[in-house]
Amino acid sequence: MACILALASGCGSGMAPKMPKEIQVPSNSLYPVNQFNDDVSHYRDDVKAGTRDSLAAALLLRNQMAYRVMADIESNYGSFEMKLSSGRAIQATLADATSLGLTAATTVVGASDVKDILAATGTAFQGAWTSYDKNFFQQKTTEAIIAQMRAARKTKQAQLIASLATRDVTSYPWEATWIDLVDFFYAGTVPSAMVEIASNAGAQADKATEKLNNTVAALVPRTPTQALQAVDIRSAYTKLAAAIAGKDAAQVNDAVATLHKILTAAGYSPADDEGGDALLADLRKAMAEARTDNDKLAKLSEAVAANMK
Amino acid sequence: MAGTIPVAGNLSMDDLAATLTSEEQLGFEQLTGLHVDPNAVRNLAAFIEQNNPLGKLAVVARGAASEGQNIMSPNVYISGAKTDIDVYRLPLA
Repeated sequence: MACILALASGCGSGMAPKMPKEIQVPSNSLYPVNQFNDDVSHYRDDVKAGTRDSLAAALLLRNQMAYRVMADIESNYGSFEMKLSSGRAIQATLADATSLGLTAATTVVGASDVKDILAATGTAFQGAWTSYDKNFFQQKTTEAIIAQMRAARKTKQAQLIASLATRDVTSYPWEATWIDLVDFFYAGTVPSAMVEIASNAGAQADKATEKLNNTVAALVPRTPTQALQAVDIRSAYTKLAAAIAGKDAAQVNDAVATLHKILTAAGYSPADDEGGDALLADLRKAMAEARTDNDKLAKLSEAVAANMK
Repeated sequence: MAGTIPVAGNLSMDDLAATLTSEEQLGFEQLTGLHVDPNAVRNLAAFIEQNNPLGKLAVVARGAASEGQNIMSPNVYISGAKTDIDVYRLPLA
């Protein structure tokens, strides 16, 4: 591992700045097998006990194990991508791809049968690589392959983080987590990228990055007063939407006029001839902006309070 | 923006309830999960899309009285410390 990380640090290669020692051997990474086995054992005991507290402990342990394995995979992938980018001998890089990946996976594999499965998969990959025509590989740019790997990895990672955060150990047990971790790992391999590579790899990466960013962007802390403002705005939206959906022309006209006033008072510029549905969409957009902006929330709240009957 | 979103771990119970309520109301969402983030002193809140109006959320210490319906009882960071709480859905005003 130290050698791999030393290579990734780009010593003398000009590909990257020198990697700090703290990152080369992160103390929170490198999940030892015995510790992993102990954690799995404790997890199973907690699940078996079946009490509320033990299930909560199992959930915490499942998440800790998953994030540690993810950190190991992430660390190895960073080294691998750097090596791929540096334009070293392609065949050598291909040969390293599986062994690097399998090192990450087998480091944390406790059960021998799972190890066997991974080893067999690795053998299959090696066989597949030798059958790839060298020219075929070289016609694909390294950048496209990396873009594909990044897109696939970010998509898998976003799914993993979401599942860990939202699902308990009954609906998403460690075994399911492990399957997703293996998927996450293989998403960062050249054979996987070559199978999935498409002309829109760049667009996929952007979309996956946006999804990941959405997954991890933090909520803006709010006070009870601001929560009341949000409730009032939403209540106004509901009333106006109901009026516009109704058949009473006078009510529809009133709602349209009110929406115009609210949006204008809040600093937006709806067109004079905008219909009810378009104005509702504008209000919804304003609400979305108020989610992350206290000033916009205050302004929208004032506008609603001043114009709702 | 339905999905999983981090929430600061230093909020009081009232501010946590206000933050989650604001997200639900402005984002047309419904809270479906709340857990600690194992990697940081913060919480992770999960939301799904919800176009029907919902009542406010209230957060109280586990077992404390509250009006409304208890929707979950997680262990989360409150003012920086892990705390057992109950989350209630208050009736629509």
